[in-house]
Amino acid sequence: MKKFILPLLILFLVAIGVGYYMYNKPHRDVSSEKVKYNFTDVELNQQLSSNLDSAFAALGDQVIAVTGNIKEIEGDTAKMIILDGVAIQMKESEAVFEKGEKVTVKARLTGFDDLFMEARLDQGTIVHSKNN
Amino acid sequence: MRLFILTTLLLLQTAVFAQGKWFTRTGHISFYSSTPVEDIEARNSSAASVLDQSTGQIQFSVDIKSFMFEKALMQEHFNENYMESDEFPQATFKGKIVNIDAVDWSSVGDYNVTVKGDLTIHGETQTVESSGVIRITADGGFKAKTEFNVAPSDYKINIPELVSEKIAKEITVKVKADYKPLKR
Repeated sequence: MKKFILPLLILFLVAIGVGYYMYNKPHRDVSSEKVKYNFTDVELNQQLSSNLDSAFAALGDQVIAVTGNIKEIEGDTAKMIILDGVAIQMKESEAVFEKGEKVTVKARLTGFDDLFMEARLDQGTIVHSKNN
Repeated sequence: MRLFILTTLLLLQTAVFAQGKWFTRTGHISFYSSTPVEDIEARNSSAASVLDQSTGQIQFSVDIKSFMFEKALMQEHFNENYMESDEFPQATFKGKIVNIDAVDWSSVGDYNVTVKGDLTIHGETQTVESSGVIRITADGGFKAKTEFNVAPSDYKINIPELVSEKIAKEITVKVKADYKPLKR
């Protein structure tokens, strides 16, 4: 009997440890992930608007680098930048960009907004060309 | 007479022009589930909305995946197990502010409104009604605010027995949006 106690105790502690880690596991950090797809703003919009279901099945939740010109900047705390047919919510810490500027933004695709007919992404960070 | 018609037409045109559409892409939607076991909260600040001032027609669209939870694990369960956000990426609302005439758009202040329409979550549509406030601001825009309850079971969101004590039967949803004129 005695020889089971130690392994059981270890197993129990490991289970608690795993459970605790899972419960407190960190949020996904899109900015540290690798870019899976590269598109221009117009290309990304076309992909989704031509066949939403199949395009979203492939691209939804994926890290995408989108290139385009900033048409508008909206919002208060976390800024939303509007490219041609693409709206990207930037990370709150990310604040250095201007209207009219050509940018490449790394972000995660969350959906396609049928009110504005725009691809919608979040957790955006500017990709600086020297890091490409 | 001809002049009268022309003037009337011109006046009508300006009136129609002034009664335009309003929009936001950065509406705030948050929800709270409160039980004795656990309080859960999630926030989103990228809801899109368009309001037609003349008819009171109002629409919202929000991506389920962009709701942020305090715990990553909760966010994962919310997307994968409950909302099935790969299959149902959006929640939408299409409806009307039924007493839009109660709002005096030219005068700064708070106006109580009632909004009624179809709320679609998890692919299921229900008719909902809620009271809210439209605040006309001095900068020429307005803010809108409402709060209502949603029962996950009404939208065929299955919550397993095991965690049912941790998730409220009625979830409080808060909506706050800052509208700007839509130029086309």
